[in-house]
Amino acid sequence: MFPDIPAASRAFLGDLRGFLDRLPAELVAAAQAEYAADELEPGPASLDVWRRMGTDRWVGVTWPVAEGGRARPPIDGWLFAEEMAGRGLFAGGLTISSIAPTLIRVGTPKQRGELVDGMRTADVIFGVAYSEPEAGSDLAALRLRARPVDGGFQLDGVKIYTTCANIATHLWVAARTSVQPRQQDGISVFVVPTATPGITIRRLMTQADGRTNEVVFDGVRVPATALVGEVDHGWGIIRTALAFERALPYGVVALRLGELIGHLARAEAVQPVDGQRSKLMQLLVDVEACRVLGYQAAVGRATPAAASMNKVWLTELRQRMAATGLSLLGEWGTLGLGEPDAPLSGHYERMYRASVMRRFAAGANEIQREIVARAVLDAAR
Amino acid sequence: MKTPVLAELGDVTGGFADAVADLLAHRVDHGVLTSIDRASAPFDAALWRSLVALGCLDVLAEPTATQLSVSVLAELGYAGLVSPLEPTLIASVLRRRLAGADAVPPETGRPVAVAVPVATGHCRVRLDVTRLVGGPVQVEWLGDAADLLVLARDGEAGYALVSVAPDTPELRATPVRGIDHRRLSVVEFDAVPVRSVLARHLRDGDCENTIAVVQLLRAAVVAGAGTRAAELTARHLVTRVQFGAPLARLQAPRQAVAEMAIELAALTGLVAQAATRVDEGDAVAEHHCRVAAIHAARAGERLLENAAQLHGGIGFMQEHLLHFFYRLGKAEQLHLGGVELLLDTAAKRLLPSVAAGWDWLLAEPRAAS
Repeated sequence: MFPDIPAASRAFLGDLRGFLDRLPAELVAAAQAEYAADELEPGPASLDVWRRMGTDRWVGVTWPVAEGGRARPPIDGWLFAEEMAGRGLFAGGLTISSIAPTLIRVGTPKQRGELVDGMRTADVIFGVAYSEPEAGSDLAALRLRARPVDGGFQLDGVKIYTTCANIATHLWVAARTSVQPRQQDGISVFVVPTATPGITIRRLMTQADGRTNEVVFDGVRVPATALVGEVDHGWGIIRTALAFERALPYGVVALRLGELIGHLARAEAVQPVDGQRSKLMQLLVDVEACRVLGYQAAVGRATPAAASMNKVWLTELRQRMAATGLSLLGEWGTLGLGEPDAPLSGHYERMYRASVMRRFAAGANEIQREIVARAVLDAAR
Repeated sequence: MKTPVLAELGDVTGGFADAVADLLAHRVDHGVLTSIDRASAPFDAALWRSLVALGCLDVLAEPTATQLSVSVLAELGYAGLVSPLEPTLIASVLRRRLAGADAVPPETGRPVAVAVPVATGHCRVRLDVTRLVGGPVQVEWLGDAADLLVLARDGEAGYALVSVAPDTPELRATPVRGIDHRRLSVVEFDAVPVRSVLARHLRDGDCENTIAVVQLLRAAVVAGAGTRAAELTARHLVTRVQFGAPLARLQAPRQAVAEMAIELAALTGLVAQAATRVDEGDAVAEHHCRVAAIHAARAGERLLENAAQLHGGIGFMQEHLLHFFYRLGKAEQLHLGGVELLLDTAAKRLLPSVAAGWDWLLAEPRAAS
């Protein structure tokens, strides 16, 4: 049966919804406003929601009990992520969706003990430091060096687009520890506290008014215990983390489409135009397809190719929806977030500016298609 | 070979659909499809008997009838075989949902033809006391059917489901060639006597709801045809050498084949999901059926066009298998009513409930808080 949401998971979802419904309305509204403005960097209200949820163990529900989780099945993790996104609430970002499950899988007991519990309650927040000025989608071309020194490693180099570095307690750093014939080899992963001397964080502003960062590592010394996994064998860890990262929730896309359909159904000022209904219907179909692909990526097939399929479909739909939605809203759609006369609170204007990023972040969609193609063609050989 | 639809529904379909797949794999090859295409072969009674013997009609009495039906139809699509099994299963949907009649038609073991509009607003046949008048409509496999089920207008506001004898003289049927190799007739109803009235005064909403399930069955055929086209394409890319290497080494074809895989994964998932919802008696099953049908119509076309493009001239030749799937997919899209009509009808029927409050995660109306 597909998609199978068993009774126990429906009950879990009901309990989660009950918890969320009991949060103070003002706090939720403030967190939703923060999320609408910037889905990647949590503001104070979002952090407050995160802490409250983590304290009651609603964050990391699929994690082992020993790590502070509830050992729920993968489908419950999917329901959690989708419910949060569907309410327009920050769900811990990459700290929770990507780094925590990766660390639980490959981290040392010491790393897990020091970090995972704090991630659940927003006391530990990660910025993910992969991209460099000369290594974007070709991540394996990264140059930031980590040299062995007494007692650990010294990191030197530059990372860019390290979102949340400015609020993070730690950085998840991909670094080159040796030069080998295959560039994927010789890469290692480190956990680096942002307060470590030698780290400089510089603000970069995006076209969507969101903040990301450049992070300069100048003689940054970390202990050997900062290494995640084995030295020179970090590529597999990065791929694991990226697969988690690409299993993006579609909930916020569904939320925004529901808002648009409701608005156009109600708004007397908006005159229906030819083709409007059909455009909305097509978006609805595409969102439903998104739900299916998201489920397959998170629960059903759970392969890297399935995650890439989900990422491609969702991110391209998001941009298509933003453009179509703005077009249907007409000239009032130009009004930005917070403007009193902006239809749908300006969500579509902001989504239009922000959505392009999702297509190239976490590996450009062309790379994702390459991952899918490899799986398909390998099966045909 | 299992289609992805079967893989999604594996627990439900068990060994039955696998047996159908095995049968089709052994019985349906390029020669068979070509002979059907050229109308040189009569209705393949032996294949039909084999499908019946495997239980393809018995599934209609099962609680999971829709899931089993879409599995079998996906296998037919995967084989490239257009069969009277498709209208026979559609007839069963009409009977069960509109007439409450026994799922298995009285002429058990014989094909049934159907005349069902793509939307109630397109119904061209009306019931005049005891006779059907109107047309023209297209009917598949009429000459091989033991029964013809017609969804007809019944007075000003309602509809009727009636059965007529396919060979009655008042039924003026003209065999025509269509885009694919299904047996197709254009039919006029010249005061055709009704064999039996299965249901009368049917409401528009109930008929639209049922038409949506019919569309799901057609979407399953597209999913099967799309699966096969995608497999043929992947195989072509890894074996066809151009510029000194297999085409699979070139970036543009790889990107296109990935696009096909994504469209197909969504399609098979949507078909499986909708079939599950129908069998569960879900109140919003129509929503999921229409979503699956629209995606089949749009994505199926894109997928098959990509397959044709990537095959190049080789796939354009009748000696290659691909053209069967290319034509089959388009035929199903058009028998669904075309993309524009599907979108417009679905929008009218579905958007109000979504606007009223929709639980996207559970894909059902939002419970009042």
